Amino acid sequence: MLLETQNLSKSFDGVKIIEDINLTLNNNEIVGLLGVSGVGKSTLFNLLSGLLLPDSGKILLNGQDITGKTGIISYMQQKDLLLPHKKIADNIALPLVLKGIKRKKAHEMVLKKLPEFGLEGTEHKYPDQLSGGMRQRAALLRTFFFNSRISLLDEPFSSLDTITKTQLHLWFLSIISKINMSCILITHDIDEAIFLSDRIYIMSGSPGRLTSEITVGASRPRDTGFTTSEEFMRIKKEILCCLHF
Amino acid sequence: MKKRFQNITNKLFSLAGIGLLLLVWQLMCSFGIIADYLLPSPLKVAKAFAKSFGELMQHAKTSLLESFFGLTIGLILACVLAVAMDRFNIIHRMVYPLLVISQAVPVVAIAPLLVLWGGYGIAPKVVLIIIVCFFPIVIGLLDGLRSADKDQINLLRAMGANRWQIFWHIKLPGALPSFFPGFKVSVSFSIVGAVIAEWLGGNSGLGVYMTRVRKSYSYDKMFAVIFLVVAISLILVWLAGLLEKLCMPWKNKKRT
Repeated sequence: MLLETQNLSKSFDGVKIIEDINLTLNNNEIVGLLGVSGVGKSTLFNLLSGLLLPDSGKILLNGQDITGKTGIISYMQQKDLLLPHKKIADNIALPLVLKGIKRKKAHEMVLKKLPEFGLEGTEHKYPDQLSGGMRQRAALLRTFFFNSRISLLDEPFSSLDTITKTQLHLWFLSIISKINMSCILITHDIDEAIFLSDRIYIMSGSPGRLTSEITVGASRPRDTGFTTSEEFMRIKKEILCCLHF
Repeated sequence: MKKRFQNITNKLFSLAGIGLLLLVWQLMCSFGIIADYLLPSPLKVAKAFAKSFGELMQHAKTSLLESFFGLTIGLILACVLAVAMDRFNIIHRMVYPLLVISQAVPVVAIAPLLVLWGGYGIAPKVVLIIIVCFFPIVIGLLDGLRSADKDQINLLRAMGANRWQIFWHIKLPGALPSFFPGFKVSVSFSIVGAVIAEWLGGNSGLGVYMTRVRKSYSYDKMFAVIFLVVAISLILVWLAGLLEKLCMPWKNKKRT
C-alpha cells in the first residue's frame, strides 16, 4: 500500500467538512473520488498535500506519517496554474528548481520528457501561447517532476471540451502506465471516473464521508469501446444507485 | 499588415492634431490676434530654442541628474517599503494612512522648507523628487504584491516552497504589471519635480533658468524651456515603456 489515511476529519469554524476518511491507494493504481460539489473533496486534497492540518487522523505514505507536511505530495487542479510569466520549460522545471536543482540541469531533465507528453518544441513558449489540452499536459508533467510516484488530480480535465477531453483521457491512461504513477482523481463526471479508475470512492453526506467503494474490473489501458460496454453500464448503474438517483 | 497600417494612420492623426494646434497658434500670432509680448509664436520659440541651445543643455543636465538621483533613491525606498508592507501587516496598517496623508500635502508648500533646511545645493531638490516619486511606485507595487493568485501560492506551498521562493517565483513577477504604470507616472513626475524644486533657488537647472528668463521677460525663451521639459518628460516615459516591455516579455505573446 502506497498511501493510506486513517480516520481523517477536518472542520472549519466549527462546521465539520469531512469525517472519518479512510482511503487507500496502491502502487500503479488510479483511484477515482466522486462526489457532488462542496462535499469536501478538495479539502481532502489540501490535507493530503499538507496545506491543511487535520483535526484528527493520520496520513501515511509507505507507512510513514506525513500528516501536515508540504513538499511531499503535490496536486494538480482544474486550473492548470502554469505561471504566465515563465516559459513552459521553466514552468515544468519549477518543482525541480524549488528542490534546489540548478536551472540548467532541470531544463535538461524537462527537455527529455517533453516528447512523451506531446510538448516537444513548446519549451520556449509562454503558457498563453498553448492550447488548453497542452497546458493540462504541461501541468501534469510538472506534477510528475514534483513526485513521480503519486499525483493528486483535482478535476484536471473538466475545463476542456469533450473531444479534447476524450483524447486526453486515452493519452492519460497510456502515459500513467508507462511512468508507473499512482493517482487519486477527483471528478464530477461519472463516465470519466469509470473510464479512468481502477477503483472509485463515492463521497457524500455532510460532513463528507466515503460512503461506497466500487471496483472497476477492466484492465488498463482501455479504449473508447469500453465506455459502451455492458460492464461500463453496470458500474454506472451501481454508482447512480449509490448517489441516490 | 492591416493592423500595422492602422497603427501608422493612428499615429498620423495624433501628429496632425499637434501640427494643427501649432499652425493655429502661429497664425494667431502672425495676424496679430495675440500680442507678441504676451504669447510668442512657435517660430519665435523655435528660434529662441536654437539660440540658447547650449545653455539649455547645460541646465537640462543638472535637472536630469537631480531627477535620476531622486527617482533612483525614491524607487529603492518605495520597493523596500512596499515589500515590507506586503510582508508585515502591522507595517501596512501603520504606514498606509501616513502615505495617503503625505500625498495630500501640497508639494509647493514643502519646497521652500526643504530649501531652508537643505540650502541651495542639489540635496533639497533630490529630496523633493523622492517625495513626489515615492507614492505612485509604492501603491502600484503593493497592489501587485497583494493581488498575487492564492491558488498559485498554494501550489508552490504544496511543492514545499519557502516564503522567499514564493516571493521570487510568483509575487514579484506577478506584481510587475501593476508596478509599471505607477513607475511611469513617477518618471514623468521626477523631471517636473526637479523644475519645481529649482524655482526656489539654485545655481543651475531648467527651473532656475526658467525663473531667470521670466524675470527678464524673455517669454520666447521661457516657452523654449517648457517645450524642452515636455520633450524630456515624454522621452523618459517612452524609455520606461521600453523597460516595461523588456521586463515582461510574456505580455503581447498570445496564441495566434
